[in-house]
Parts: sequence; structure tokens; C-alpha cells
Amino acid sequence: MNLLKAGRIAQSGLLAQRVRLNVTASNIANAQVTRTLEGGPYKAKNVILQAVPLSETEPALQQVRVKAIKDDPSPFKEVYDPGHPDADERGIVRYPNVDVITEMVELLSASRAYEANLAVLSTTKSMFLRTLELMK
Amino acid sequence: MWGNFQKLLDTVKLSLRLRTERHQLISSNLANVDTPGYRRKDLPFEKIMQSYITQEKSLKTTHPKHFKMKERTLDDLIKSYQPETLGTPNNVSLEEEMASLTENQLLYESTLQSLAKELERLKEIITEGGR
Repeated sequence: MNLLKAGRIAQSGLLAQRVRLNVTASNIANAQVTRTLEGGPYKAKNVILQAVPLSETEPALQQVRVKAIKDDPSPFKEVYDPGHPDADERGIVRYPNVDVITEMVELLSASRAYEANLAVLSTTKSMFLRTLELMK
Repeated sequence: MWGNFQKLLDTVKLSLRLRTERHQLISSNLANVDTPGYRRKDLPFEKIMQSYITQEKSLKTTHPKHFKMKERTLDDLIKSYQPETLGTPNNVSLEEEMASLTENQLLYESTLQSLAKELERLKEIITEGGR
């Protein structure tokens, strides 16, 4: 059933965008964290999305998949604050490499994309129900 | 008599099939709106419809050993659009896709509506004619 495939694609989009929302929330929540379980400041995480064909017979239809969640390799922010318990011998505290503005933009973009996928889902549903009405 | 209905039903069938196909492609584009390197896909609905409607004027074979014209499948017609990329390697535009989604849905539903009317007409002929 073709309309169900469209629903599955939209569902993969919802899932991927929710992962992005979660990761962004985690980045914003930890924007000031100087201690983590692995040691050192928190590292910003990036979600890597990948397009994968829904089935081998129809390569044009591609759903989306979260390929990986990777650490941002950019350097930590260094702030001079000798009074901070995590300051090194030069008085420098290393803060996470999270840029809150970038994260806010990411958050908005993920939420818009989530809404777009929801709209696809409700459109699919209405098309499906309309088709069913023919049988009355 | 039946020929008219048959032709209409066939046209509606193709139209609905193309609309669902297009709906799937649009949902695929929207799911991948943030995937790096993804290219949008679309289906030239009008062109396919046009070639279907004018099909009867195409070449006919007069001998069984003549070569048949190769039938193009839907997948051949689904082309990957590659217009200019504005800074990003992903060329899906959220606004355009949402607009085509709505347009496609409305046209799908109007095709369905015309099919429903036609079926109603057919039913009326059957019931009234039997009296």
C-alpha cells in the first residue's frame, strides 16, 4: 500500500528530528559543565543524518536515519578564573565547546522539520481516509 | 457504452497512482530536509499525463516481429532535480515541499471526488435502467 510507505517515511523523519531535539537539549543543558564522568569539560554533540532507501526496488524513496552522534572536535572555551575549583595552575578554566546561539538555531530548525513531518503524516491520513470513503 | 467509463476509470487510476507516487517522493524530501548531500526528487505529473492521453497517436506495429516501443516505467520518469545549490549541498526547500504537499493532496482528493461522482452515475444507470 503506497500511502503507508509515505507514512513510514514521515515517521523516520519524526524520529530523526526528535533525536536532534534531544541532543540539542543536552548540549544546551550542559553548556556550562566543567566536569563529566569521562573527565574534562562536556563536549558538544552533533547528530549525523543519512538518507537510506526505503526498499531496494524503489531507490528514489528515501527515509532518514540517524547515522551517528559525534563529539564536536572544536576546541574548548578557555576562561581566566583563578577562583574556580576546576581552574588549572595558570588560573584557566576550560568550558564546553557549546555555542548556545548555534544550538538555539538548531533547536528551531529541528522543531520546524518535526512539524513538517507531522503535516505529511496528517495529509497522508486524510488522503487515506478519503480513499476509504469511496467504498461507502 | 462501456468504453467511455473504461477510459475514464483508466485515466483516474493512472492519475491517483501518480499522485500517491508524488506524495511519497515529497514525504521522502521532507524527511530528509536536514540530511547533508540529499537531493530532492520529483515526478513530472503533467508530462506523464500528457504522454498517456496522447498515447493513441503513437506508432503502431503492423507485424509481430516489429520492435515494440519500450515502455517507460515510473522510476525512469522520477528524476532527481539538480537546480542551483544555495550554499548547502542539500537542495530541499521546506516551503516549496510543503506547498507541493498541499497541492498534491488537494488534487488527489479532487480526482477521488470525480471518481466517486462517476461511480454514483454508473450506479444510477444500473438501478434506473433495470426498472
